[in-house]
Amino acid sequence: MNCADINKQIYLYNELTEREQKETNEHLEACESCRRTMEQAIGLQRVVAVHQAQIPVLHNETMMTHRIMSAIAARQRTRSSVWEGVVFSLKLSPLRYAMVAFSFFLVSMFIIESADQGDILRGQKTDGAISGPKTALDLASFHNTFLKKKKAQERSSTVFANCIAECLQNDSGCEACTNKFIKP
Amino acid sequence: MVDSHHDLNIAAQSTADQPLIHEELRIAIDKLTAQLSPKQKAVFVLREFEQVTMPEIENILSMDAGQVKSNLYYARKKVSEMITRYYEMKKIRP
Repeated sequence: MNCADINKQIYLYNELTEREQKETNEHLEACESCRRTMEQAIGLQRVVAVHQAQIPVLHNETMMTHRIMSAIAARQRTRSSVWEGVVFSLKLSPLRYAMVAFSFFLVSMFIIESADQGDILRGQKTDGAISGPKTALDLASFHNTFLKKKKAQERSSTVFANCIAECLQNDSGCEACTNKFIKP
Repeated sequence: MVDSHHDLNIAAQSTADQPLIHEELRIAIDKLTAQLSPKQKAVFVLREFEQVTMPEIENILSMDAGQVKSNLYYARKKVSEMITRYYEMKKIRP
């Protein structure tokens, strides 16, 4: 084997058979220039090992993350399905914040309502108040109705009393008070 | 005492520079492999960096054993020569 063949075998040393490796080693012992080539090949192996050990450094990592996330967002935006569109829009931050605010509003309303009902129940226990939801009392209309009723009663009782007095004086009965007044 | 202190400083400096040299070397190798032909690059990257076996490379690239070996030989030779030139330019040893 000449140096050209050995040269080729040097660069493919790990892929050679045992017999071929032995032949190459024998030649290397005798040939100075091939030994230099072998050193070069070993240098390459060393460099490749260093390359493998290196973890690639991310240049401007923040920008890369931003680019990836933007690309994902752009891809999601192209989806045609309505449902996917709705889901995606929910993921957008302003709408999400609005929904969170609305949830808080609903929860606070529920708490206020519960607190009011709690007061009524506590009132029932202590004062024996009428159960049921609170109703606004129209005092003016209540007063008018009450007074009208009272005046009507007073009027009828006055008429009745006068009728009785007259009937007793005359010692007679009348249609107005016969059913109601029993003579002694 | 001064000499040993000086040696220590040099040692510390070389250790600190090591990742930088390795990073520079990695970039250099990426550039060197880019100069290979597509077939040579494919065989070289699969064999050297991905540690794929020769029969697997033959299957992946649909080549026979002779073609794979030939491409690997030329790729290794080219990269090796370029690395030697790179080290000579940088005046550092592999």
